[in-house]
Amino acid sequence: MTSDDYVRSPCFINPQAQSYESLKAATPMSANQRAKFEPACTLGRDEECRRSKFVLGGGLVGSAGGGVAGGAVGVAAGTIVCAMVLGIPNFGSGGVACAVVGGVVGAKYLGELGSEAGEVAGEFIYGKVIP
Amino acid sequence: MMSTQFGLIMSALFVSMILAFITLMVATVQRIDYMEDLLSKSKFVSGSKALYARAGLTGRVLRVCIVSTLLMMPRLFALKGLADLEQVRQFRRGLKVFLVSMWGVVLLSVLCVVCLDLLCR
Repeated sequence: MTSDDYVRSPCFINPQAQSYESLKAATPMSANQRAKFEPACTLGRDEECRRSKFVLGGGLVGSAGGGVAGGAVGVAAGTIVCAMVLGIPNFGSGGVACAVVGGVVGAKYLGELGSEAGEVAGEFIYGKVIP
Repeated sequence: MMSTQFGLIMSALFVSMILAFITLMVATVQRIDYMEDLLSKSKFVSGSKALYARAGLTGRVLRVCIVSTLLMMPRLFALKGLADLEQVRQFRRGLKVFLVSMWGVVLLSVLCVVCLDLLCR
């Protein structure tokens, strides 16, 4: 694998990269990931990098779990509200629309809250586990 | 960013919500057809079965949520003619207690999270 191949690959870091600038160029990330990861995981800041792994990992778990559970609760709530209050039967396009709206709202709301709570929990665990 | 105490309470609620949800789904998602057969006269259940029958695992998960909700508050659905109370009474007791308790933990956790968020904003 040549140096250029490493730069193009999303899965590898160029082993020849020595400086932070060349590491950054060889590690593709989204703008959001880079904004969160960059300040901590630069060369010579191992402790900050480890902390950010706990915090971002907790946020990811909270976001995913909250999103899934929130989506399911939202679909159930949307379907029930439409059936009981608006009188829309829970089959056909009306039922699908209610379920989709409920699911999206529930998943977004609980996903965001779960992400925040997970970040706090991750930071707390880091403080307790790492002396 | 949330304060530590608030964040930890929220995290505990999220953990209980996610664990109860996973337990409910792992235990019941394969038996959803059997549970729906036990509630075959309920329009709400037959409607959700028709709607999500081809939605794969996601559809099965949603159908479990809907059956659990109906078992949790059958009288409310019966008022609108969407549930058959006799079938709900004859539903297997152990399964009913499991569904209602697990789904109850999920809903209660969601309710607490929403209330906490609204109170602390």
